[in-house]
Amino acid sequence: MSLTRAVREDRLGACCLIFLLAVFLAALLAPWIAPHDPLAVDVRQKFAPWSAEHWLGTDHLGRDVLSRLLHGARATLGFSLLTTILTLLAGALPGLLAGALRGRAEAALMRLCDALLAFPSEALILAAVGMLGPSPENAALACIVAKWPWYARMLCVVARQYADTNAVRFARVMGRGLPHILRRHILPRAAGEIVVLGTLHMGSFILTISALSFLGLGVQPPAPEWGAMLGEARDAMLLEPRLMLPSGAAILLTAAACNYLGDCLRDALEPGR
Amino acid sequence: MTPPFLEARGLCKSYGRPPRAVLRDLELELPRGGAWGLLGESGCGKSTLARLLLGLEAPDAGTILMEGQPLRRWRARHPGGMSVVFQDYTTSVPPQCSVEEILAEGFPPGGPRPGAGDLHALMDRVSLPRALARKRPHELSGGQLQRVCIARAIAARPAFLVLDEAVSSLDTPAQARILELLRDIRGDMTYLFITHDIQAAVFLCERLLFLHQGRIAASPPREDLFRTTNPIVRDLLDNALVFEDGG
Amino acid sequence: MQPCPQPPETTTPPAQGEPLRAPREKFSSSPPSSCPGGGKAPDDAPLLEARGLGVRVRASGETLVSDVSLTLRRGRCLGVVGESGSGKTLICRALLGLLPPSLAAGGEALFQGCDMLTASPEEARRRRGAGLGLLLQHPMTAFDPLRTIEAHFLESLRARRGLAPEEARARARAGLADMGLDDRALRAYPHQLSGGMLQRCMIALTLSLEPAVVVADEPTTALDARHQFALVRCLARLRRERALLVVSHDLAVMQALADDVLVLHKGRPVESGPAAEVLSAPRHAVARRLLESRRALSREFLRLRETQS
Repeated sequence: MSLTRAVREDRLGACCLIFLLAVFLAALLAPWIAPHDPLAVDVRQKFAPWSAEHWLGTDHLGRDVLSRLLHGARATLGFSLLTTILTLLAGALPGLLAGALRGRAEAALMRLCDALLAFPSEALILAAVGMLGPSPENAALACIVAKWPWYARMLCVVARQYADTNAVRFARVMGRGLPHILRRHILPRAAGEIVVLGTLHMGSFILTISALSFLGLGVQPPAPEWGAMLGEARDAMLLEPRLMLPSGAAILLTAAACNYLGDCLRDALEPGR
Repeated sequence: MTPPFLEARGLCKSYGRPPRAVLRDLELELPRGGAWGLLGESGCGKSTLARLLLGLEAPDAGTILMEGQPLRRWRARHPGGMSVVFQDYTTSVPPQCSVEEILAEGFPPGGPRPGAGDLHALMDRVSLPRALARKRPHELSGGQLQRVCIARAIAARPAFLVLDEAVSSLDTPAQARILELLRDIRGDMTYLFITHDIQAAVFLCERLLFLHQGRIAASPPREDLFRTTNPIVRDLLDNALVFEDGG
Repeated sequence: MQPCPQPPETTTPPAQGEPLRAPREKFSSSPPSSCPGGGKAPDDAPLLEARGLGVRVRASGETLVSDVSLTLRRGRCLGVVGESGSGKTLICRALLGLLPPSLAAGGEALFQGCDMLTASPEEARRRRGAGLGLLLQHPMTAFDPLRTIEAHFLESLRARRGLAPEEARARARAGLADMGLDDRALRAYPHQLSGGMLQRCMIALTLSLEPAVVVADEPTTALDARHQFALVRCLARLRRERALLVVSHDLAVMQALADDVLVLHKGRPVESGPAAEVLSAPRHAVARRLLESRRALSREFLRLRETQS
């Protein structure tokens, strides 16, 4: 597949992919590789500097920052990935279907998307979480509700483009139904674009989930999460500014890696390569 | 009296806003069997007529009957009964599929899955080397890919095969080979061979239909082609770019 | 596949009255006054010349075209024939200095004495603009969708030939009429015209700039038979005052236009000579195949014409 080749040819893209895989692996293995209990409070050790015992120091309650960062990756990346996949599914299914069917189904879906996209998505997410109550599950749900029309619209256009080929016309002349056309002609060709969209938006979902936790609307203390850690560090910003570094850098690097990898994959799909 | 194989009455089709009529009260009657050439300038409605006959689009007015039955019912009763080969072979096949998978799509839906023997027999019929079975479209030449499209179109042994400018994108050697192939495999199929090239049309077809301004303007048999006085026909005859042998 | 919304084209057939039988006369090809071999007059200097032209893929070093040498003089038409994939289009692009960056050209391609392969992109563009016209297979994206066909004509004729709008408009009308299009095409936006009509507009625009050399890469493939005929006649007329390089797989086009023919196979020249010889008694298998297939395609038509008239 051309996507794998694109990553192999683009060195920075490959670095991003390796970095992301490493971060995901670290998150998966956090209970085994974390040096300390992320929730263990030791007030005597608070604001400990970087040392062999605490590689990234400790926070205002004396908790080991590295351990919290590793465990926090589980929350941040887990919820971001879940949100990305569910949003893609929620948007791709109606989008691809409407694009393949054309006509009224397409028009109806597009108008619905127009209406939903008319709300600023950040405001919609905040309102939804506010109504449902702060929790990571509700934050993810709010993201899905706010973002699915965007995917539906993109994939509707993609499907329409592939549905309007002679290959699909032949299938229709042969009396093939919509499931066959979707499975054989549209899904395989849209798969690449779905992967690209997912990668690109994984980065933005990482930011959204972290932001909600930062504001106290996502993952609730004392559970570790990158955005929440950043929020806690902010309270001690004047006293111990370096506490903001680990979680801030983690969010920045992971989101940037997702974005760059997405760009690299999207370039591979551009015609003329 | 048995109804004609294909009958189109008062077909109208318009596109665009404001609507521009492409077909205007078109009348057409084809008996079963034989190769029919449909000729006309670009934009005269040849491909539109093909899409209507294939059931890909509905006419604004008029009816299409196959063996006396409405098109939709006939198609439902004869799965794989009509098929098509398009001009642009590259967009006619899913690019990620192998030749085998593409050919398999030509067998009627709901029927038994074609085995390797069926596929090989099909490839033999259109003189495609069996070694190509696992290749993908981009690894094939234009002529080979068009053969794949033809093989796929005849897999279900259709009664009616529409060839929409099926050779126009090929170079002359490939054109000649594909036309010979089409002539050889026709059997009892009815061809509607759409082209702007009158030389290719008379190569393959016994009767010619001249489409002009949305109607069939003339339908001379091949043997009387040069005796017709119809200006539309004469225009195409006089303006054919002919290779004059020995000249 | 959506048909074009409106065809503002004349349906009157082009002027007739020419005899059907003799194709060379049909396309009014008075042989050029200069003898083929003589090159004394300064007017007879080659306009376009290639020596050992080759094209290869930069990344892999794979050779696509090699050892192509050709000479094009005023009043002559050189035909390049070959099956699809024989490298015909690459030669055109290399001659004009228009290869994509992934390909590299070798040898020499001289246009009016300037090597288009070593010239800077700016210089090559200036040279092309001044005297080279290019007719492409699919020029559908060549027009700016926001402007009418007329605007394209006016701007090109003003920039390249310094013509005032009135003069330019008259020339545009004449050029379009040659291609069987009328004033409605002039006022249309590109999206209102079909592919074939845009192709003809492009041809009319190119020819109206009166280039010294016209390079036509499969100019007939996207056209229907009637307009192929009109274009060939137009090119035949043009050939008398200018130089023409035609690339095609169709020997009927070659017979109507070419004085000399170069046969390509897999990127290599395999046969060359006067058109009359190559088209009647080709020596190389590829040329014979092209001839046989062309004969096979026309045979039935010629038989009918013979027996019925």
